[in-house]
Amino acid sequence: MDESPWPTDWVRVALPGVVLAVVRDEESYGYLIAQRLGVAGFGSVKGSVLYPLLTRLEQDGALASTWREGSGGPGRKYYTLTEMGQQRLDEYATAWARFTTSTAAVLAPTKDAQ
Amino acid sequence: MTGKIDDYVTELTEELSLRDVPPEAAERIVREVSSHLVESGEDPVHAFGTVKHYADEFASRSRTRRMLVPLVILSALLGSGSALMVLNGIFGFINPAHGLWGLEPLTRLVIGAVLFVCLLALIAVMTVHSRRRLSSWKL
Repeated sequence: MDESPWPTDWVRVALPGVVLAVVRDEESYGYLIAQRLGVAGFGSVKGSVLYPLLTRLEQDGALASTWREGSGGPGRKYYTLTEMGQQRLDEYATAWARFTTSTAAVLAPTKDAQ
Repeated sequence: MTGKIDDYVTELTEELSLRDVPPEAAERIVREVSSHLVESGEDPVHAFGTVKHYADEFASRSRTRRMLVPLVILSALLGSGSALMVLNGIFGFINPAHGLWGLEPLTRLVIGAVLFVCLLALIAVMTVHSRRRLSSWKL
């Protein structure tokens, strides 16, 4: 999987909301979420970053999980978005949109500079 | 690769247990690591970092665990010292010629008992500390 084009700090900040969004779109397990993030342009998200985040989101009640046995393997832990998770994602999306709008407005060149 | 995964998850299980992560939570963490590694075929250390580094994400090393080696040595000294003094005290009562550093048999028994109580207190403190961390574990 390609390296992320974004600074690591940016990815870390965006990750909780993005992971919730991936799980909202489709019931997913860790490795699948990592792949979806890679396809979405977040690069290779390490297991050491993703799984503690999933555990934290589950402990907070934003995600629920069930284990499904695999054939001979350790199985997969599937995550689904809870009602609280949906609420958190909505709040996150709204706040993120406001933040990026504010940031873009400040970063845009001023008339004097043009 | 399977051997590498087995070694990694075994070491991770031990490390999480040492850090007082509840067994059922540790099992879920380890099983998820195993699931990811089997599916992705990635190298464990490349995907998750070293075992200690990954365990840090779930529980910091407690002061007791960092002091584990000195605590084990202290416990061994207290235990063996206690046994030595108590046995010498008993032998001193049976045979007054049996001496130790010029101490009376009763004094030896008392010192042995005090050392034993110190050992029990140390074990109790470590157990209570461990239980508290176990019951309050949260990411």
